Amino acid sequence: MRIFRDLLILLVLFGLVWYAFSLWSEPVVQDDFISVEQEEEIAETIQSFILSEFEISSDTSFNTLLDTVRRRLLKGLDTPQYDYSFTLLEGEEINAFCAFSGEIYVFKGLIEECEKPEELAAVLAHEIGHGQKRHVVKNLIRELGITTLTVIISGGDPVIIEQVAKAVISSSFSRKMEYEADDFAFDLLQNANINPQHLTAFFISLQSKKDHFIPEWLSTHPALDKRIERLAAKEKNEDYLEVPIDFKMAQDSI
Amino acid sequence: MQEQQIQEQNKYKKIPQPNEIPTREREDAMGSYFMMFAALAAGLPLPIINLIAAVIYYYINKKKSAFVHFHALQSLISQLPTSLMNIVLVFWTVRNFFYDLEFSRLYFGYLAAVVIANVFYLIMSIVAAIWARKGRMYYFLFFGPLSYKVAFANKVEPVKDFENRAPRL
Repeated sequence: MRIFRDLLILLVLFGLVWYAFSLWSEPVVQDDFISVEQEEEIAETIQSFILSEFEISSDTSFNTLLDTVRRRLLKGLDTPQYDYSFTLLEGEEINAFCAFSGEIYVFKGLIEECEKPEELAAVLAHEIGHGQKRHVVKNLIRELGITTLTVIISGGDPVIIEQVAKAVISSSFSRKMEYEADDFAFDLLQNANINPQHLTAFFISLQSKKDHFIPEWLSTHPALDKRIERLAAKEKNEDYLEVPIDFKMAQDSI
Repeated sequence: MQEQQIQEQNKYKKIPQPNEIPTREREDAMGSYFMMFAALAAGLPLPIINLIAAVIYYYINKKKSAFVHFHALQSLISQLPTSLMNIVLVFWTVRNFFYDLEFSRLYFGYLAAVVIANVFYLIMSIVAAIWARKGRMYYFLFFGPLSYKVAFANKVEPVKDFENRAPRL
């Protein structure tokens, strides 16, 4: 009997300590582990790596288009998480990726692939979605651990930096994250008076070109079909009115 | 009443006094606590290797003497709850990271309780190891009496006489 009394004492003690510390602590979401300030430091290190790997494009018309789209999108963003900056990179890849601190990199190949500026806006809204939800930080915490990220902050070794940068460029997010970014993009596009169906249209146009190279960020899960289906099923605002992006005007003003 | 007391005494072997325990046995008893620390470090982040090591150590040493048997068993069973708690903590943490879940108050409360339990267990084990080296018994709460019951039990094996039986026809 004495033995069971001892066991009970141990269990009650453990329960009490658990309960007491539960009251004392505060809940934390994953991205709180790396503050926005710390992320800025990481961003600087990663940016220098990206810029050493890829060439920044000086194509005036493409840059103007990108800037026009950026300004239009940011108008629809109520509380930006970061001061978003878009950088155009040389390359045929149909890709754009969001790095740390709201730095979004766009390959020329993506712009060439888009049939309308609205399609480009839709893809970039999706990338802003990843930024707003701090997916890049969450992803890396999950894959590399907080320790590695703090090593980068303290000016860590180049091998780790390269590893992190490659993970950022490949932008392989989880299914949940991709859906979140799609949902965010849908709302952002509506706020910016751009028809959110352009995102679906872009996905469909990519899908229809069977012989075409489909970028990793689209080919990986969740399946493109499912994403198109989800976006198509979403309801648009009733009083919504699309205002086309006047790319020509922006180009003429150069 | 007196008969009952004698019966109770006969259930367990006599506890050896420090001067009766050879150095070799004391070292083996101490080893059961210290071996577990090394195995614990090797078992991280999944604290299962220390358990396997403790089981092996227990089976190798339990026949040496009741004193060694007691300490090896106490070391083995007392690490079961902390190991279990650590495993739960590892899975809870990985799950939160993997599914992008919030680290709740309950999680942090559990984390603190597990850390305290581990530190407490570590201190208790060091003390027990030192006492074992001195040839003394050291009883953990709950696990001590339980280990004593098993290690010092006077097992009276029933004597089985061979019985000749007729074949199945």
